[in-house]
Amino acid sequence: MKYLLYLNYRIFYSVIRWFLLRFSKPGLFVLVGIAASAVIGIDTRQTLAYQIFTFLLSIVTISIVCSIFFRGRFSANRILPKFGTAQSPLVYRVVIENQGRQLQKGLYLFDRQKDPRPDLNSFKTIEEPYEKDRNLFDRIMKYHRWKWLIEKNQYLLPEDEYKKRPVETLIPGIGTEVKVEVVPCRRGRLTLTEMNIICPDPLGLFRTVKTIAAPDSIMILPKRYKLPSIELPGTRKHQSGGMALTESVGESEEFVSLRDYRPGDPLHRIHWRSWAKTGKPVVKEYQKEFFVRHALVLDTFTEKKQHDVFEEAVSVAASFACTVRTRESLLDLMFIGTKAYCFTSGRGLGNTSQTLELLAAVRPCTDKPFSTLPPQVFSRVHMLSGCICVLIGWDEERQAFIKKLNGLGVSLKVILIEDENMPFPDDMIKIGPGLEIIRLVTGKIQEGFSKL
Amino acid sequence: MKTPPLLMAAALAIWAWQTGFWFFGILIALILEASRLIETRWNFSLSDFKRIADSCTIIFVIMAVYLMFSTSPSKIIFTLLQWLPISFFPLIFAQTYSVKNRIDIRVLSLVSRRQKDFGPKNPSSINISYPYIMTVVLAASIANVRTPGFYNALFILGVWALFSVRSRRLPFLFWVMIVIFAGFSGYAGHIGLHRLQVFIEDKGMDWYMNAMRGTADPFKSITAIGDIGTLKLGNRVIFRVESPDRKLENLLVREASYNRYILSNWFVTSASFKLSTPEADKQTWHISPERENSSYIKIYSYLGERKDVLKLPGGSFKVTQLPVSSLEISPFGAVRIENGPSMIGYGVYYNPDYFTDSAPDTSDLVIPKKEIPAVVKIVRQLDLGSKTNDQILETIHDFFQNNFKYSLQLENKYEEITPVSEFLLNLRSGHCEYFATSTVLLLRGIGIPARYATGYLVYEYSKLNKAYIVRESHAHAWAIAFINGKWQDIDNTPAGWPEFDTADAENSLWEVFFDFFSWMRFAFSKSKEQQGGIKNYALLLLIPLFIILARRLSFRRSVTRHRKKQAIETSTLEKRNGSGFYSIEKYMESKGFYRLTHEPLLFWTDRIKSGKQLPTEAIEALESLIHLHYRNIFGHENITNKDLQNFDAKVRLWLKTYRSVI
Repeated sequence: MKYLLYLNYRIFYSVIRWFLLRFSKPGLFVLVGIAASAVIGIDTRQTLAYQIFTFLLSIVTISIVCSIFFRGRFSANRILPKFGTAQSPLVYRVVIENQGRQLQKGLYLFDRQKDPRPDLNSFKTIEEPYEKDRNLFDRIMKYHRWKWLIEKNQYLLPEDEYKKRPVETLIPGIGTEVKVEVVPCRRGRLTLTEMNIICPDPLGLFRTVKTIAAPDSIMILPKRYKLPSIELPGTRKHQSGGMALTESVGESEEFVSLRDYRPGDPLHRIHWRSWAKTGKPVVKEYQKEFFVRHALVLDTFTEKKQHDVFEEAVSVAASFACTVRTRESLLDLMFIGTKAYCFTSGRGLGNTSQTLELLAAVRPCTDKPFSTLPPQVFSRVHMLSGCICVLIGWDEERQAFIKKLNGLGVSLKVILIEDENMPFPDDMIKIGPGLEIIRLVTGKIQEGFSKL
Repeated sequence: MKTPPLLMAAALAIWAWQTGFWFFGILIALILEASRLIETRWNFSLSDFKRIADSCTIIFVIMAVYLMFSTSPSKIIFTLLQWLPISFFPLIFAQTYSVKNRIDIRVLSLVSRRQKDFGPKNPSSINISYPYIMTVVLAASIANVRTPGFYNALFILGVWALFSVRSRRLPFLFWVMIVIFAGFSGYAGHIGLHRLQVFIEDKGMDWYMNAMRGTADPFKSITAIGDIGTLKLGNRVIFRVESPDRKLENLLVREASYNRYILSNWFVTSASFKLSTPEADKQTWHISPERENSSYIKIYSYLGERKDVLKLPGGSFKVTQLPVSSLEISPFGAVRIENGPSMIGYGVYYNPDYFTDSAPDTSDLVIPKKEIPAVVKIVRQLDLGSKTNDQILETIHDFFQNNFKYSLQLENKYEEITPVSEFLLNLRSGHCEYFATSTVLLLRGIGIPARYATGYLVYEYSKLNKAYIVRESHAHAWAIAFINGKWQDIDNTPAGWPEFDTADAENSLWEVFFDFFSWMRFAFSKSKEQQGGIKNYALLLLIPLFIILARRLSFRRSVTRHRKKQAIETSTLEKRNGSGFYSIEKYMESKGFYRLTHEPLLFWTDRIKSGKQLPTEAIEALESLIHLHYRNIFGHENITNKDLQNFDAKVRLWLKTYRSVI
């Protein structure tokens, strides 16, 4: 049964894709008109709809016939940037060369992603998050599962994939650039497989397609939010890693720069003249192994239904990873995936883009309990000035973890991401004095940050 | 896709022309096309759109309920489809005058609406202008006004719509040729399609008649004579007969009669129907002159789609309460009607002594060659030649009653003789068609003109219906003979045959249920047809629907109104981005002066200048236009629409001046 359903959806999907590729919007509309007039005009004595049917059928037939006369040979090459960002425009260029002898004009380009159809095994085994809540019919037919799996594998929406991008007149032998702008809908690796050079028929209903194989990929970084000026907590701590970690900034006898005062800076480091000038305390920095180190802890332990919440948590973590000024401090990104990850960036060790790449690939952890995360954090707590915890749940384990961290004297910023449909009750979110929990709701994260 | 100007109005004009709804057509067209001039727009929210979409559904339901009580069921769907442009007008109005000018897909899809929690996060939106135009055109086609004008109008509308989406790859003339070719092929196609249907209908009629035994055809009666197996007829109630005096024992109600017997089937030769004219009330029809001592019955029957044959007792001369568009009378007693309501209850005045059938001729005495031996043998055996007409009738009647038995088992043991001869000589068992055919042939054998008649036997009285009910199994065949200067019914099928046919059915519990539901349907249809019946309650039924409609349309908060300013700004911006200068570039490219990708315009003109193919003044004028063009697209100063218009005028002037030299 599952195999038949899979086969059915697979074929149906191919057919839909074929129609989307081959027919323009007016062409699809004409096809719908043909179907409607065929139904209404089935009896030619009863209505005149059969006249509409034959007229529409004749224009579609002529369109298809005209399209077979298109000849052309092309080569195409993408010039991709290193990264894109989810839900932000990704702009790149495609160089198309007309390898034929004829001048080509009025063409346009589609850039196609990897076929998002899941394999049979995924269809059989991976459940859609809301599957258990659906009615019996939906559970048997598994259409929503299919749709969800497609969405999961899809980086570009059909509107982007089949967007008409006009190609300027192609002179034989000369390359022409086309600017392509797409909006990747999710983070991860976007794989582009081929490009289609489209030639519309004279009536603008049917298209001839020349396919050029052009496999390429680009890393799509998580969506990021504009953070308000959040004061990162904590003071400088001795780094047992020693001088290897202090090559750019820290405290030593050698003066490096001036910077804003942070709680814990010794008074003799204050640069009084700068204070007098700027009106706020400024200290001198020297190279030494005392510096600020923050942890960015990402909660990856999610339930199936928390897909959106998890994605938002990754975006929030990415926003922090970008905003923390890692030239002055270290940032340890910690999370549990297939194993425990701790990636340190800042001070020449790693850069923000590497952190973001890691976050682009992070997956929910469903096979391990939350209890595997705290030991990883506690093993480094003696080096941490502060900790930013991005949580997606508020159960007893998480509460105990936060309480213990707080008790260990680590300055904390707790960000709790809630599902807009299932927010946590207010009375649940109480942990103790002096600890603030920032609650953000999915879909309104930026709004939540703006209120801070 | 934005619709071209006046396309919507043109589609609505076709609809109004075809359906006759000029008022609505002009009104809707004016309102929708006025959006190009009126700048006011409303900011409808998703819930507002949902409310409007629901209102469309309610209007649709109101129309359906109204039609249920005002027209025949077969016409409800087509009439509703014709009215679709009215019922969906609120939605297209809301889209046209909304700020977004599109409709969220969740408004139209109930499935998406229900998937509140796990539905798509970014649902798409659509522009319903073109779907509405298609609906309007389809609705126009349903009016079925069969003039060539419809296709011509459809073609013009199609060209109008296709013009904006045409590909610019090929010359305009080529597009024109293709469109004209499409128009002709569509025209030929629709004529061919219609002829194909007519051809299939004609060829398929025989098959259909065989498959749908029992449907009356005034020209031909296909019998089961010669078939093998068991003849089975259903027990569905076909019509009901009310009689004031309830004395209708074994009344024969005829549909048609036939005069030629060929290969087990009866036919009518040279029968032409004559059109009858109704009285002033348009419901009273005369079949023949009025007779005295007439009887009256009322027959309730369901009508077919377009044409049907009336069920009438022999000697019917007047039919009343029959609201049909035409009534035709055949010389063989068949009365054909056209375009009536789904159920008719017509009164019939008849005198069985005065049949309206045409006078007999030689065709009423013809006996097929193969049947002659059997007929002659029986005529001699019964010594009919020496008897009077009345004695002949009595002798034949007794012959069939005493020597034959009624049976629905169809047998044919002797292939060398015809089924009727076998029936007469050997088998002596069969159903009514055998008895009727044999009677006709025997009467003809001794020189009495006779015809074969088909219809029904009315005998079963239903207390539930308070009328006689006639089932499919009561279908009957008998002979009519011209004796003593007049036609009369001769039924020699052994008495009690109807009980034989329905013996099983009467014991069936299902039959009781079916009869009950049949009566319910009949009672509903009857009351619908009556003036002052359920029809009056239809309006009461509509009241709650109107209340729901009013509630859905009452917006609790006011919808914010906007000027079209934003749209104007957008159009200006678009104009700036797409500055009229590009028409020069396009023209130059058409003449072979291609501009390379991302090549600055002034570099391009330098290149052209170095080629020395164009006059210097043309290039210089072009360069000054390029500066203005740059100002238009990059300039920070306030560029007004007037500036842009001036620029466009300069571009046109340049094209006009130098077109001859380039």
